[in-house]
Amino acid sequence: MTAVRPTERMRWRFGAQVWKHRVPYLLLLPSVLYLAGFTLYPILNVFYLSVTDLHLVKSLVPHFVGLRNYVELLRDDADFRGIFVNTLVWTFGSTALQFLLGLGTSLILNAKLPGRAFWRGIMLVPWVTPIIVVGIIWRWIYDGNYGLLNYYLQQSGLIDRYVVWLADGRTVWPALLLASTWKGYPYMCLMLLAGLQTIPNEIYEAADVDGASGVRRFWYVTLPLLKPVAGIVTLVALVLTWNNFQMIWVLTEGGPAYATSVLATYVFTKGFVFFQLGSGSAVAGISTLVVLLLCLAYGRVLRIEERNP
Amino acid sequence: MTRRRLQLVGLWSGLLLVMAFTLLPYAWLVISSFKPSVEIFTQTPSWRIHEFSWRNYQWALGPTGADLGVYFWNTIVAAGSTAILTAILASMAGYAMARYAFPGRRILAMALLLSPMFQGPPVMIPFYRILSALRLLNTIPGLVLVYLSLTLPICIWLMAGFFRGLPRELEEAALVDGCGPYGAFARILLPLTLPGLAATSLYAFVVAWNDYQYALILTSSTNAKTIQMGLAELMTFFGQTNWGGIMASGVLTTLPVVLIFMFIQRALVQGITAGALKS
Repeated sequence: MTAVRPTERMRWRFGAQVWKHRVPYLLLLPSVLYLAGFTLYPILNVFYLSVTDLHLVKSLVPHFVGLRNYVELLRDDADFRGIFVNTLVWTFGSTALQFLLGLGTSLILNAKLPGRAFWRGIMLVPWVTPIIVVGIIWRWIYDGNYGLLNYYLQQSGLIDRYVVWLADGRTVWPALLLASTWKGYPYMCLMLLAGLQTIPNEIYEAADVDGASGVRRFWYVTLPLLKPVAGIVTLVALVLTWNNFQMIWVLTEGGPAYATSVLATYVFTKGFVFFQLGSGSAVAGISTLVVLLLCLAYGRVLRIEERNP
Repeated sequence: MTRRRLQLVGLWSGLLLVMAFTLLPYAWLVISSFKPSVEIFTQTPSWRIHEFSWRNYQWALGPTGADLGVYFWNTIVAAGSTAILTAILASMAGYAMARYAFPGRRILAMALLLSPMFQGPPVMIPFYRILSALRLLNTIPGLVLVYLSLTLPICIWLMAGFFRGLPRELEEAALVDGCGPYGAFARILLPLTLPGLAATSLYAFVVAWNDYQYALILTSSTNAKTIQMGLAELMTFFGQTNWGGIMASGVLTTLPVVLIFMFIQRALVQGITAGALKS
């Protein structure tokens, strides 16, 4: 009897806690249940599937195979190394370009210009454009026979012969990164603008009094004050780009061969082109581990922010 | 004075460059969509339309062409249902997050903030398995079930932001008047956030409308294929022959989201940046 009591009391206290906060808990219940099933469970589930032989045709019921999928990827898969390197190029290249253009644009749109709200709205158009349409737009610009890019580059004498931008291993990455910058810079710009707006005007006035202006004002006043926001935005963008399957898929489908395959597209190729769901899950598992590390960094940055507001 | 003028010239030319980069690819899409085939497949591309034509649009929607009507309808149903369900769930959850302190609040807030980081390929295979187990593959309810994972976390943030903007005295007055906590929420506060709620659900609509990756793995016939899938198929089948038709279809797919977005932009942008930058 006496041994049961503490647990009973704990249960009672837990119940009392829930009862005390029943209003928010009840309001949150449907959302939390849904997110447990459709956000948390899939993330955990992919790690489980990655140690099975699940196959869309051969093995519809998963059997445990240990780390076989991982070993095969890391040791036997001749393409995997290149794909991992591609992922780094893609993630850092795309994020860096989006950041630079986003930063430049945010500085312009933060200045007192007539029609500022209008320009900000226009700037966001690529961001809301469906990814397939982004694919249509840029595939047509890069077209090897009728594309605008070829036409203008030849007119200006920069190339002699038309280039099939998306099928040539040497040009496909720059082409992809340009399109991705177009699609992604508005989001970056939006966030940086929000960051710029938190910098109080008095600081600029003080800088003016001290005779700092232009480049020096940007370097010594704006940039340091923007750093916390820029850090968070960059981390978020890194993760979103890391997982960005759609942009690459609509332009190159990871090709030519595996030239523009990244982990995100390789999950799809493995899982839904070759039907190797287990092996595809292992790719997703490796990819998600990296994301988790980045998220830890993100959490850490946020916590530092909280301490020094 | 001259330095000020120099600065202005720099700003305007910077703006001009950025806007050209942003809009010219778009303009090219729209202009090309009104050109007949002979003007599209030409060695010297021109920004002028010589013979303006609606033919590409007729082809996109007509039964003898791409016949995109059914795809549009599927997308409207899927995105509309996603928007409605998101509005219901996010307003309840957002209110709880905005107004109550309770054990587990911080963890939940963190989870909502981090969940967009695990979208796409990492969860594609599990989503496929879940819908397959529920017998919802290639159905619109299945798509909606998955789309909520895209919209709900950010929309809860948005709604919480809108609720935080309302004065607390409102609830206190409602409670004094004998409304229960749910009555205060449903009858007093919710109506006051209607503009915010509308912006939030329209945002959810746009997100669902724009999805390509989940429709790609979860749908397989006109039973549930969305407009993005329709466009992807046009690219596969007519990518060499009918660019005009493809581009007209692209314009038709983009138009609703751009219009909606322009409409909700102001209400939305603040919420999105606040959600991502502050927690």
